[in-house]
Amino acid sequence: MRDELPPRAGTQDFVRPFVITGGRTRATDDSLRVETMVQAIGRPGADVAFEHARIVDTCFEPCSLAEIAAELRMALGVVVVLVGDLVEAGYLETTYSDPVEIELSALTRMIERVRAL
Amino acid sequence: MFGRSEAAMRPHRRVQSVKLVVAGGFGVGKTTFVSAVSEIPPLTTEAAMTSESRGVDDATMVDQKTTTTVAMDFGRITVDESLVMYLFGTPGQERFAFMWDDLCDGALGAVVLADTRRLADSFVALDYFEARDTPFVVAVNHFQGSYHYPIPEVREALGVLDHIPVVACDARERETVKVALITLLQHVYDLRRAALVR
Repeated sequence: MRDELPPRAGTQDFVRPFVITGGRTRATDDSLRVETMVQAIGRPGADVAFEHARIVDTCFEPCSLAEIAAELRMALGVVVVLVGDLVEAGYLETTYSDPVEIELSALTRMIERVRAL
Repeated sequence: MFGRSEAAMRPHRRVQSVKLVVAGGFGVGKTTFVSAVSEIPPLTTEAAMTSESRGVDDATMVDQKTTTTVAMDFGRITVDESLVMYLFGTPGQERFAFMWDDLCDGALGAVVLADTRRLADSFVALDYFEARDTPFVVAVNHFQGSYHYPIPEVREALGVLDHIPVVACDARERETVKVALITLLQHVYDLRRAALVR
């Protein structure tokens, strides 16, 4: 499986994914999911680490954690931890939608949208 | 770990997101299904394995090699400026089933793709969503050259309950994938409305 990974930009050798989180595999905020929407609300200063700053740059417009991971070619678990850091520091705002709170009117809009595809 | 940002760059725009999961056996056509309706070519994320994977390696990995990442494909349908739908394909191989909890938590519903040549491959997904009470529908993917069994026969062979919709589709044909998705959304709608009336 490891052999099949696509080459990552700027790396020749395999890098353990959680190196850039300092070994943390869990975000401080456990509500973050693959579909959680993230948006940049603050501009990172020079004190923000490179990988963190790349994430803020990626979500100038609202996008999901999954899209950040795909765009930056970072493992999802790593993105979850770094996004958690950035939310705590006030650079990012998240919108998590609990499926239970999805209203019938939203379901109708979804059905209409798919029908119009 | 670093200071708060100096000034807010822009106001937060609330966009609701909804996650739908496309599950089924390995090679059943999940990514094809997603790409048929996605407004972007399916993207791939790699989910690094964390502590949940302990034991899985020992029990099922044939060569004891440590796998570090699992690829998941997903697509996107923008409903309007305040609502986005994401379609996630589950990792197909059974040895990655431990990842399903992370992926399926918070899912609005699921499409279980079935291949009539390998119906048993979809049992894992059916059992999973039944046990979790995640609303789901079954879409029978008709591959070219595969015999088209009547839907009632497939339903019986799969052993799904009467109220679970079963539809036929061809994952390469957008119109049939749309029907499968609408069937799921309508099923979720009906369940919600019934719960409200009760």
